[in-house]
Amino acid sequence: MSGVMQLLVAAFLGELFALVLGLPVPGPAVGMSILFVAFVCAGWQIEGIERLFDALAPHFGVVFVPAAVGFIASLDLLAHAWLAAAMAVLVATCLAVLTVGLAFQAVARICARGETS
Amino acid sequence: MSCTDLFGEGGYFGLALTVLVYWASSVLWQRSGRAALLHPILISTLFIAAVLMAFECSYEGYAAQSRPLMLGLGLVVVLLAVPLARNRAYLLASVQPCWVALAIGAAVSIVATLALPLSMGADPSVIPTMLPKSATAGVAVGISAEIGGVPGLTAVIVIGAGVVGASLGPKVLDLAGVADERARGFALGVASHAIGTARALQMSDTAGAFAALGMVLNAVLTVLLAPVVMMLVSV
Repeated sequence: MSGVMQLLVAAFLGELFALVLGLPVPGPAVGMSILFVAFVCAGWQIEGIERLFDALAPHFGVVFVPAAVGFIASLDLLAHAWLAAAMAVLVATCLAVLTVGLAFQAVARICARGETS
Repeated sequence: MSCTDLFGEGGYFGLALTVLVYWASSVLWQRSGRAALLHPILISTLFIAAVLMAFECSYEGYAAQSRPLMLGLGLVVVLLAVPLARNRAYLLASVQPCWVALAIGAAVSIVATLALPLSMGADPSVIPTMLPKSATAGVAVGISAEIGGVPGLTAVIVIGAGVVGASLGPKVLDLAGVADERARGFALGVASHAIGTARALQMSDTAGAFAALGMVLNAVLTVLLAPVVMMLVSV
């Protein structure tokens, strides 16, 4: 199966499972899990889809732009809560990046030290 | 030239505009030495929003024409299985740091998202709208509707968290001295979902794999935690 077919099959199965089973997680996340399991357990060849992924990965950002522009449709909603929303987004996101990064690095160091000693 | 000429049904101007503006802002970003505030998602979004508002065009027409990119968003998430599979030995060797960092990140994220707006005098009714902030948009909007938030505003806040993490996140990690590629990726995935993951992939394949993992784990955790937090807050 070509890489493109693998991608489409996994995406389709993900949407199908999410819909039929009524999962709270969206179809693409289920599709990602299916594709991962297919590579690791079902012996799907990864080479074809790897070329596709490596060619597209630097440009992934473009798919988020149309959804992000959607904020202009909510400007009246934002008018009431813009300060709270802006603070939560700016400060809480930076805090989350900071603490997750520091915690991961600290625990990884402790684990590495435990293995070498 | 009116809005219906440019953004009418069945046209592709919105799609072409998005790709062109994104390409130009990517070049600008590379030339600037990847300056945080010039990240192409941020610049393209603001530029296109400014164009639409300047010509008084509705978002709906532009969104309908850009539909192929929004469908591509789902395929991008499915494709993240590739870095996960490539780095699986690495992922399995980092189980403990992942769980600890996820737990701490979720706690900090929830407390900050609740405490900051309330301490600034915001109405407590904004809580259910803001709570799912760090989950990926599809999950967050569903949770927000379930716990009594405003889904449209949640979507804006979620995307905002993504753009802030993608643009400022790497700088924050530099300043804090977080050099471990796994930690950098995981932090961006947990705090800024798929947009943070797209940014992590621009750093390295390993960072991208850990970002994808962080994004998924945080989405699942948010689904489980949000109703519990709402119950605790309303008591």
